[in-house]
Amino acid sequence: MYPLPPGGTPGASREANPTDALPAGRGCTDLLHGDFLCANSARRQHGTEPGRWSKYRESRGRGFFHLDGMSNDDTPQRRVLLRASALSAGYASRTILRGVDMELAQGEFWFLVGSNGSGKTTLVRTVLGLLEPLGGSLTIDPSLSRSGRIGFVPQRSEIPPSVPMTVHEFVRLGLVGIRTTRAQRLERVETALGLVGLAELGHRGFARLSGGLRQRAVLARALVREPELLVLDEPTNHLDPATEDAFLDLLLRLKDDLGTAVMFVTHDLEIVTRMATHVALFTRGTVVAGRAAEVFQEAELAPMRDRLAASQGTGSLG
Amino acid sequence: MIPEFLDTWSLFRDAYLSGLLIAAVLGLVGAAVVARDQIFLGAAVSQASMFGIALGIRLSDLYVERLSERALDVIHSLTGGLFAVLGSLLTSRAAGTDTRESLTGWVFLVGASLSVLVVAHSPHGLAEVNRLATSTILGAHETDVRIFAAMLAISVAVVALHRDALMLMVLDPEMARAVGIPVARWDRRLGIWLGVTVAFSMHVSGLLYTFGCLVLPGLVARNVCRNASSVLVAAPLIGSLAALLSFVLANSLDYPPGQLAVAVMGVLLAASWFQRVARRDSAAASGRD
Repeated sequence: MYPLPPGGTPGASREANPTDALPAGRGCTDLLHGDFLCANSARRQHGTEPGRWSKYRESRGRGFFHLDGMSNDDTPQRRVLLRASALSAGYASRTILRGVDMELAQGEFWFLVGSNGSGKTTLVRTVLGLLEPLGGSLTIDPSLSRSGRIGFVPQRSEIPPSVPMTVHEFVRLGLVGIRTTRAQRLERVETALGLVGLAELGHRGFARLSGGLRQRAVLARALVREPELLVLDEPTNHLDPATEDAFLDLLLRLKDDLGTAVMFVTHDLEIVTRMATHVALFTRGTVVAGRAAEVFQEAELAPMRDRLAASQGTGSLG
Repeated sequence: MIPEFLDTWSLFRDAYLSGLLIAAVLGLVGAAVVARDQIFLGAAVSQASMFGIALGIRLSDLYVERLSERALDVIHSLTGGLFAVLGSLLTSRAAGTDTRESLTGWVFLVGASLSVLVVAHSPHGLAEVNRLATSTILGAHETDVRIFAAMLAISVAVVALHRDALMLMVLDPEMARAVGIPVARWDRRLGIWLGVTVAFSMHVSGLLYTFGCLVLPGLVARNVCRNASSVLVAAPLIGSLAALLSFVLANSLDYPPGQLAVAVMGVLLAASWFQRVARRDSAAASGRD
């Protein structure tokens, strides 16, 4: 009913340089070995979507952690959901980022780290299709863009507190642009509320929730799209440490149990050292991206590397 | 009281029906204005429309001869609509709350002063502008009823088909963009529709009734409803029922119906504030228990 965001068209390769496009007619993508697979065969091969979400919906009564046989560990091959190659991003009048290279695969937890104004949100806006790439290419798995399976969690909800809105209704708004029946909408909303622990609060006013619960509702609004990629733009900025920890635990469970890839924007290095598997470090208009330890090494962030080693209980990060 | 009102139905049918339909259409369109807390936008757009009507009157006085009164009405509606749409787009496109507020104030003040100045040397024009400023619904024609019925049908159809998308676009535009809604395009459409509905209402019923119907039913609905979807149903219903009650009372007590309708809606808003406070206190008390 609504057009996809710019670049969210079937094929989903948004590039300023056509020579960087995926091979015509192939669609998408397992890019780890420079090999291109059809999205459907990739999904069959990995036994992933839409199975995970539907299995979760079926198992709702059994709780969040009863997703038998859905571990991500036995995934034979890394399925890349998003690839940036020499990407330049910014606004028509100003390029904010240049030469960004990164690959984000299913089940990976990426942190986008950098100081204010370093371009984190610019990259997020480009991934969401709100900005066109200014150079290079950004390739998104068509199965994500076609079916709208990218979830977005902003810093905070913009809903004015004077507007009466139940939590259930707020989460339902996340389904805009996705064709569903009334029964499917209801089921998806209840599933998403259950995932974030708000199943009992669906009829409460959104404005009456505490900051932490409200942010969970914002997360549920993203999850109702059953996303394969979840993009979060500094979602814990306004939360106290305990609530922030609970929120991050929730994301980890989503990643582990549903294989959701997470792209988490923050400037809180403490979180990164505790949780990062992959990091994109924004500095001086470009991005160093890869496994956390390698990025910190490359960026000569020895203290970060040490803290990461300590928090992950490993002696070597090479 | 009601039999007396029914006795006057054949005489004032078009005026009553127009008044009810205006309250329903503007109640629905105004729900978006109220949701964004842009209450003053309604007054500014109405005032811009009044300037357009005044300009149309002046230009037709100067340059148009031998046209029927109905044709002149159409010309005035079009000039009123043009300036209402311009005012609406100008204020809705402004970036930043401060700039938007400033522009809304500017549109209101410039519209208010110019609408009198352009007809200052036309006694007929000045009388018409004064009529619009004080509001009366009694001059409505059968064509007006048809126009407002069509506007209501279009508004209801769009809301029914795109309810959640509209709500997301109005309440959380950043999220709406992220899920692929072309927010700027929808914003323009909403601004144009606001301008068109306000302009036609202005020409038939005047400033007070138009502005009242645009914001008061939405504000009452916001206070009494528990979710945003029901506001979209309640606002036009509250507007129409308040207007109907006012027409009955106005007929019985011999008061002007437009002003009485706005007064009744104002009383309903005050009552809804008390109800909201009582509900919040009750919820807080039950939370403590």
